[in-house]
Amino acid sequence: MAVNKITKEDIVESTEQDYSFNLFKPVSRYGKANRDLIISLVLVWFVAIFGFQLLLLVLQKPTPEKAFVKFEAVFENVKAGTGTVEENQDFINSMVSVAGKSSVTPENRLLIRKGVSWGVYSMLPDSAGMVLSGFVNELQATREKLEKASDTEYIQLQAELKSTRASINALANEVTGADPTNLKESILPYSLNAGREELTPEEWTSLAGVMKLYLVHNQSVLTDTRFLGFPFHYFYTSEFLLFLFVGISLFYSIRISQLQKKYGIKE
Amino acid sequence: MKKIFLTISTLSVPVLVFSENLTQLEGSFKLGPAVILIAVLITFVAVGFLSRAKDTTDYYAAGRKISNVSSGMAIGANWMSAASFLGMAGMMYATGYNGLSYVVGWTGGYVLLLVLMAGQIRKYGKFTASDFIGDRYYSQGLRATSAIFTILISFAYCVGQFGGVGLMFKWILGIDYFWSVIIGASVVIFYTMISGMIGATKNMVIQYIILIIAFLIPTFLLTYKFDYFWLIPQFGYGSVVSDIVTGIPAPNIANGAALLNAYGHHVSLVPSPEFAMPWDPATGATAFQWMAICFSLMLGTAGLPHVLQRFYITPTIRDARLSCVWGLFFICVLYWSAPIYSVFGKILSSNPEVGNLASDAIVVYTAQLGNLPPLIVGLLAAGAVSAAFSTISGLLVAGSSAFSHDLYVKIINPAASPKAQLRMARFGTILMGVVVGIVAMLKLGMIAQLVAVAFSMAACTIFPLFLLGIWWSGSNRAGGIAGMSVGIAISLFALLYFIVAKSGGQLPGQAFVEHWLNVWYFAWIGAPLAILANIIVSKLTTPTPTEIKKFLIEKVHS
Repeated sequence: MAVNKITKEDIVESTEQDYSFNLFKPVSRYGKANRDLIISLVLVWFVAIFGFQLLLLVLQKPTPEKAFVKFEAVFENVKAGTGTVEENQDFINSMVSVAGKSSVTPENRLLIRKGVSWGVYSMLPDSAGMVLSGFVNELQATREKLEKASDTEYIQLQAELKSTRASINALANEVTGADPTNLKESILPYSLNAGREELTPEEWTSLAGVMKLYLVHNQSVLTDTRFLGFPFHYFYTSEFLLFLFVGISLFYSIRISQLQKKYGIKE
Repeated sequence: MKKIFLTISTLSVPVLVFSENLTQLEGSFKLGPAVILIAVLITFVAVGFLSRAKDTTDYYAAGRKISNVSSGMAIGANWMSAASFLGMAGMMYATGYNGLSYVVGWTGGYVLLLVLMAGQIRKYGKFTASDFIGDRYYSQGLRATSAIFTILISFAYCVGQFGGVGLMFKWILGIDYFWSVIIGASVVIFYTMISGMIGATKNMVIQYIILIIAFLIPTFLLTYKFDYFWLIPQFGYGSVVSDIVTGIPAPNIANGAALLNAYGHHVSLVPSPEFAMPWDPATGATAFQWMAICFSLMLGTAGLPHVLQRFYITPTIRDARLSCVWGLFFICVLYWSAPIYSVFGKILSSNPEVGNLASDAIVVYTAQLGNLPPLIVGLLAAGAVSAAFSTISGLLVAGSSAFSHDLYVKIINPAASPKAQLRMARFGTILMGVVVGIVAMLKLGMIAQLVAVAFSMAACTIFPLFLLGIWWSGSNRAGGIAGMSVGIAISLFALLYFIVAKSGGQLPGQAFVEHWLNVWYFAWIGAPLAILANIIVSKLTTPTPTEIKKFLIEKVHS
């Protein structure tokens, strides 16, 4: 490896006895150019990453989903037992919207199930409630078997699940008003317990909190604007930043070679 | 090289004959994927055997004769571990936008590595990270400590990889996780031990090609099949993200037919803005955590011994820089694509009947739920194993090099013959592989999170020593020891709280430490404090010897 000796004019602050240096106080003209390049690129890099996230933080506003607006509007009436049929339906359907989210924790899911079950069974006559309860038990038992099934049993059990789910929906849809072709048709059967349980005052309070947790989000103009199909902030973070990193790296490699040539540095 | 591709092609043919319909996500033996996996493993071992190390230069630094594109591919393959291939999509599937902090952290760190370290490390001309630290800080104690931490970092990183290997072997072979880890560990130890770095590097080039092909093909198929822009799936999936935010009604009709997953469920979803919105309350993550993870991973990237070690193998310093650019590009090809699996996984698994899926295997589950041909799903699983193997081999070389070269030769037995060194390196490989395998069986966390621990440790211990060692001649032995001590203390503190919490215990201020000094991102404060300690103590103690300063200025910065 050829090592380029430092010439006298290259040494600015160092002496022959003292070879001290640091990034911010380089000892040669090449070192200064290198420092400027490094600091500029690191600044661009840092601001592009963290500046944008800080901007997201500054601009964000808690924005509720439609389901939460409906839930808030009917919550007090339903809780007091004075809700109309439509209000009860909105109450159930907004909770089913949360039950369909995969991010719900097991603990919160239990509470949502309890709320949905309370709503559905409250609206059904006792006899229909008993039948529904039987179907829910059957659905849960089949699902448990499914986890240990062989390939052939698996297909059979899937068919059984479909049939039981249809029976549950036939009963529940009468009271929830859900469209049978709607997505919630597949969620509701798994959001029911095998019977109605009253919610305690603490559970009612928790339920409102849980609904807010899953239905209110940090949104802003940066998240609501679409770019190439993406929410803009998602595109920026998952795509643009990576392009920028490759670009910075390529630029640095080319520029440092040019600087080395300019200052006669041979590696 | 031609022989190797011929072997892969020949061994892949039976898969077409034995293709089967996959009815379950888990539990059954899958012949097609198994044949592909076996073909891939035989190739790895054969390449490792044919290009086995003949001497220590071969073992530690691949004879310094790897070109920058090959080295870039090796950096890519070495980097793209089970955490990248499986864990990252898993994190995004489980936590949405928060998972992007891993994508940004694991790529952004390369910019730091390139502009601050790559060329200078190559100019310094050492074999290992500990070698650099021992010489630059003229301290056998720091050499030994950094060697031990190199082993620990490689160890923590390896645990996540072995977990990924276990998951994939379990999925393909339909066997217990325990036996899956044992089989996978045995193969990777065998070939790394025989080949050392030269075999590993050549294997890494092949591994990169296998894993990137395996990863990209399903992205085209998924976007095409579910009616999104498929020509560039890396852009096409943007509409899937928006659909997840607004919800997808059922039935979801495209070209006159309902879009269904492998079980016949409608591909539909309730509105789920929490998936894409930043630090959504529903995910339990905060803006601070997003930035802390990102920052820790970036500093960790620039301090990982097995990554730093890759710059020792290029023929020239310019090659070291170019290989870093190539490496980053090759890495980004995969990182641009990983979110595709998380978003399709989201919409394909939305039906409650699909059940709870292990996030770490979502890449393979997505391909299955999307009803892609078993051959493609099998190739994907083989790609995942490939990703884990390429990283494990690099880690085992880094760990065993630290053990044999930095501890045994430099400290315990300086008169050791080259044969004895090689024997020790191979012994170190076996020892580390076996212990990692045992720990991997404990399933301590998600793959990406386990790997993040290694990054935080590297960021707190190795990174400050390299950064100051290269860029400030005033950083001396006492400063190095102080910085290293602070980094180790913070690492051990965070690890202690993590271990106690995992075993069901509680320490004072547990919630505070878990939030501010969490084991996945404690480097956000640990690294700056280690740097600060190094600077303060260096200023107060005997200056760096002139010959070190002279070497730095004349050899490293000229």
